[in-house]
Amino acid sequence: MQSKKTVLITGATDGIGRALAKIYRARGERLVMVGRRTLSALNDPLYTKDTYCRADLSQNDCTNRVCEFLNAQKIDAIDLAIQNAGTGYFGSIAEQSAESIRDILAVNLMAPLRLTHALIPYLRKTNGKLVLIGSITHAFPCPDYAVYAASKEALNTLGRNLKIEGDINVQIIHPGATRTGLHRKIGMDSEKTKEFPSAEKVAQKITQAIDGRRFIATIGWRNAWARFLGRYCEGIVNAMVRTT
Amino acid sequence: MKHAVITGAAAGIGKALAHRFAQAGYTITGVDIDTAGAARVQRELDARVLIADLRSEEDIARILTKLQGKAIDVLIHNAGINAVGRFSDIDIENHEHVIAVNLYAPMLLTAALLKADLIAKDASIVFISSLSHYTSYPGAATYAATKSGLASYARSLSIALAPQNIQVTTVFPGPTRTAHARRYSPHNTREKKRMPPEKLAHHIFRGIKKKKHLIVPGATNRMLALLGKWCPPLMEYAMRKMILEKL
Repeated sequence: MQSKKTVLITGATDGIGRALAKIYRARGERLVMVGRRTLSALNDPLYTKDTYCRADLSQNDCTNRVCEFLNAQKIDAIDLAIQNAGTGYFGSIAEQSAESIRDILAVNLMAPLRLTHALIPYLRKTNGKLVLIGSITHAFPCPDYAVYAASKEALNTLGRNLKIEGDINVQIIHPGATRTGLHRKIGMDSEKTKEFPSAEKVAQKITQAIDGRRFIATIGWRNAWARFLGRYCEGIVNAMVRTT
Repeated sequence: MKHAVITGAAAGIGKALAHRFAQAGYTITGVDIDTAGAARVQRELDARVLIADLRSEEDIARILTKLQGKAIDVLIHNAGINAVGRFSDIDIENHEHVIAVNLYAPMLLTAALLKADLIAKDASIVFISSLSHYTSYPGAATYAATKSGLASYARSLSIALAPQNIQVTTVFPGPTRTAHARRYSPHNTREKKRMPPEKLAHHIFRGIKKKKHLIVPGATNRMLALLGKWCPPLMEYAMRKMILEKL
């Protein structure tokens, strides 16, 4: 029998992260779930004091929290680290507060960078894999959530260069719009989000991509096409976005 | 008189840009951390240079108050720092500083200046990204990440600000003959081949006048950008050989 793998997931209390956690639990892997909420507020048997690490990824000490937790659990090797946590903002660039910009860069870019830096020794022990959850928005102009898209583009480039440096196995996965709590949190129209695929469906496809070998994977063929157009037909896509 | 604000104006590309815009009759306000360099530019150009550490939010808030009262016709986000080496060999603080100066500061300044209504109608906002956006840059993963983030932000901004007639331009310079490049390159034997900052400043000046969205200055850089965009593995291989393995 294959021994249990250790899977770390950030942003595991909601949306795609939570769905991913359920899938890996069903596979019998050992979970380390990172989230901002307290264990008692979660009130779900999925999260226990041995599997849930409370850490606020917008804070500088988040890596210490995670490393302390790993220490306490006597975990010294990780097979799979999925950096999924993300936050956003929806609205005019001029109206966005400094706190919001800081928060998005901290959670979407700085935290994955910090955690990657801290987890490299853990991942090396198992020849494990680092997965960065991006977003297809990185390939588009996003006038209503420019900082979010920029953080995802930065993450994509970070992953690309980490791969070339070759110290660890890296994979970047770009989901498209997904029905999660994020849209409500940032004040996007909730009617529109009803058409988006569920977090469970997207998480299922993400695990398939993780099992596969593709370095940059986009979830869903429509999203893959959209991302291709956004990258390679920049002018046309910009003009399309401008007129809508 | 038109007003240009240039970050990182005390040396290198920023200084060359300050000279180029002053020559075209602009009033220059520079921003830099280097007091001595700032004093030199002030003497040479009769410009104002605000001293600020762009890693610090307090300093950014301070320069924002000093920028009040005079509309900006050209805003150039040029200040940038790098941290070279393998990702895991670089201290986390250095990674943090690169993100703060290269990505957070321009976003913070742009949002605050727009909010304060200090960006003139028909103004240009210019972001100095890097050719690394197209070619990759192993050995400076965080730097490359911030420069790509900047390019993405500028692309979104250009659409958001189009109704106000504000032009957004992103520049992707290749190797430039500056102290910055000398500091961060594994070897400086090919320094003569780097583009002089004065020439780059001229490319940028002309590009802004022509209201270009994207500027990749120089034929060689344009060729490298195309190769990197359409055949990433080739450029990635070349960058690994040329840069990473020589660090």
